[in-house]
Amino acid sequence: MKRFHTKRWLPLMMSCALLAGCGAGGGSETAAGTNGAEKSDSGSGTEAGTANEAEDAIAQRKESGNIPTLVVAFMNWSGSPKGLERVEEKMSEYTEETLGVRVKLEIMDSASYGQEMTLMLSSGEQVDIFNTNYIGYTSSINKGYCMDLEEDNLIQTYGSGILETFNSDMIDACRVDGLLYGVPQQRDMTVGLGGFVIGAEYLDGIGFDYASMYEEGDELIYTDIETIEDIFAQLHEAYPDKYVFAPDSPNLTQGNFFDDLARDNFGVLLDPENSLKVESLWSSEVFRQYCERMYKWNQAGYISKDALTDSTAPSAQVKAGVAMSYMVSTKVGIAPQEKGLCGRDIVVFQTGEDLLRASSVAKYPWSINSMTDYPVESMQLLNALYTDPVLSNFICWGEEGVDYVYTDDGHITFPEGVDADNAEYYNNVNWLLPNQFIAEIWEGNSFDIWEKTEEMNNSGIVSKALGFAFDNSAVANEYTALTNVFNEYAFQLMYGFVEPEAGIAELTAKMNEAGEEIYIEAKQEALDAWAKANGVE
Amino acid sequence: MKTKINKKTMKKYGPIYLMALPGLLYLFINNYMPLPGLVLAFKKYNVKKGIFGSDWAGLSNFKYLFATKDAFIITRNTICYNVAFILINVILAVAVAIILSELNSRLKKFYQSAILLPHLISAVIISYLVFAFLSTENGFVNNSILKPLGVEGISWYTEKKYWPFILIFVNAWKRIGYDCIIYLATILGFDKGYYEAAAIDGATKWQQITKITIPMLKPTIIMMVLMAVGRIFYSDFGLFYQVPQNSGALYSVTNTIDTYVYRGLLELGDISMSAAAGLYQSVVGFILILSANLLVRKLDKESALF
Repeated sequence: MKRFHTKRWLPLMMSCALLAGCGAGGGSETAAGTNGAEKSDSGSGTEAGTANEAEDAIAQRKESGNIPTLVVAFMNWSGSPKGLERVEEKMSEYTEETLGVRVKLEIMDSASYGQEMTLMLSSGEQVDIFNTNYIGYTSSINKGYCMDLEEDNLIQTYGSGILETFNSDMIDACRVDGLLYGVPQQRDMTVGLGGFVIGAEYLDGIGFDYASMYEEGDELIYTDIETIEDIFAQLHEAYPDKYVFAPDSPNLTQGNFFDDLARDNFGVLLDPENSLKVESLWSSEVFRQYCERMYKWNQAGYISKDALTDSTAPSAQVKAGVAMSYMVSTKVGIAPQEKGLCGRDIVVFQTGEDLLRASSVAKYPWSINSMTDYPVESMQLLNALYTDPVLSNFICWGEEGVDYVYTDDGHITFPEGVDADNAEYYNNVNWLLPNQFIAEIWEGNSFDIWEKTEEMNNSGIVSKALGFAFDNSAVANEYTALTNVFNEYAFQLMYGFVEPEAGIAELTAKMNEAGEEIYIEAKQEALDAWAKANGVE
Repeated sequence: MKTKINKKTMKKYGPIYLMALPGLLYLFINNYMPLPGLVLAFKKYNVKKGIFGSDWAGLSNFKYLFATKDAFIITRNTICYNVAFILINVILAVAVAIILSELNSRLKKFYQSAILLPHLISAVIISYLVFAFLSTENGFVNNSILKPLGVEGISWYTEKKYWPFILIFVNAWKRIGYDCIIYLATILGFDKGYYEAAAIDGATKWQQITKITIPMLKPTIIMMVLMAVGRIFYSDFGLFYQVPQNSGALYSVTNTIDTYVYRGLLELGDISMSAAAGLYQSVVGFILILSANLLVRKLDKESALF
């Protein structure tokens, strides 16, 4: 009897929440609160009941004509794409029909995304769904940006498709202190370390025979760092007016075997397969070797002398013909992706192992803003982004016929006259978007790319701490000081501008001064507690 | 009787108060309304709970300022740079003003505009002008000056030791045009009779400058310096953030309180900690202004601000 009652009243409550939401922001809080209480009552209902609730909510929105516009924010490499408004309009036409919401995409380039989002989220500008890359997942949670997705059974009621997309342990990996603040995306979780992208024409220029190095069915070449160094020496000789290698800040984790717990480099697992001992990276062998190599390359003239102040993305430098190679972490489909970014033929080499890091799953989850006026609508849109191939195609590839066309064999590609340079919606960040697995597959990728990806996810070296997330709010002071030290001293070492021995000694000393030991201790404690709770030895 | 006076004063000063109103309003909105936000420095800010609902954090937000040598470095940089700026800008601006006042060329207006121009250029553009000179690979200094001299190029954006000079130079280049307008206007207002009399008595140009112009310029100079001292704890953000291209290697010589607060808020995303740094800046700045004024009042009561 009671359930019947709830269901009858829910649409009305919902529209109240909506109306209030459209009016003053403050007023909606109480309405949403009552609404939420009703929801948890009915949460105990059957599965069919929850599906109905979701459908009712959509029907109610469409009937009342109260169509909210939801803001979805994520980053790409080149800033807001030219065709954004057109794609938004097409997407909104579709979502208005299927979900009763409109969509506004807020796409910013990686360099400004973190800063812009921090400002938008802290100042209360409208953002409903956002990706936490460059803002930081744990720090977003600490600052209260992320909504608890299970509050009033929100995700169970309106986002069941998301829960069905992933194994429950992948969802659990996004929990912090038991609460779910975000959901992962469908992508490669295991990364291939030490990947190098080199322009094919330059390799041809020095007569390097890479074609014979591919093993059956591979899109990249497995080799060792000595081969790369050998290639670099020849490239430098043949093309003295181009930079051989363009360094970038993520190189530290892309190229080196360690587990950066919680994605900060202060306190890492140096032997993630076997040990849960948190150690300082700076005094480690792997860091010393890396700095020495970069120093050697820098001294040899492979790296731009302005690398420290130049913030141009390495792929953009290769595209512009300024640099010849850069570092990536590899995955299935890396070659077509980087080819698209560089706008020219490239060859991908891999020199390191495949590693699944602790933070891989919860690297940059999708969250809903805790301040949103439309929690239900946002969850429904997010759910659709994970489950609706049409919507996923829109956000991944844009509009059919303008941004992409189908090839005869069922791949998609650029239409006539469009390429990576003049494309109006070609973000190349599908690994960041909720579910690229259900979108169309770009020409040059095999149709089984996602099966292969899952295979790779299950085959590499797995960190023992997989699923561990670190809430650093108790040591935020140390974190801030450490980040300052990192920015001041580490980049010179990582780009090879400073003699490693003296540089590392200075960095280590400054890190100690800034309290790295305290930070590591806190991390170790949290890790031990996590290990105990999850039965990891 | 009393109301009569009030009416009279209102009639006399009313329009003046009215004129001041927009400025006062601006001051209130910009400088007084955000004051309650200072409470953030003592809170652990959480968007959900809001500014006043967030949990108290005691003094813990200040701890990071003193955890490293950052507090000392940013305070030292801010004050030392500003002292150097004040001294050098005053000397140069007065010199330029005197030279301009002595010029009788038709090009005088052109010179004046040319000197003023840098003041009107945005810091971002200045940073790239500087970069054009100092770029290690393609810069003018390394390629067109040092190379022909047979000196090896310098990696300007990683070498700390040059930056105090570069920043002082860039700041002088940017500021003196504006400062010298005020001095020039004062000099042009001097009675020509003094100079004519001095010329008749056989005083040289140099003597005229040191014995007449500078002593008469003194009150203006003192006022300008006092105003600059009042802002000694604030730094020109564009100069310290944009011009060094935000190069991490230079932080210890380019990090001032303003850039530190900026980095704190935007790169690390912590509002409470930035508020703490801002409060620290305000408090020390307040103390400095009070003591500077006290000093001036002791030396010359007329010139003190309050």
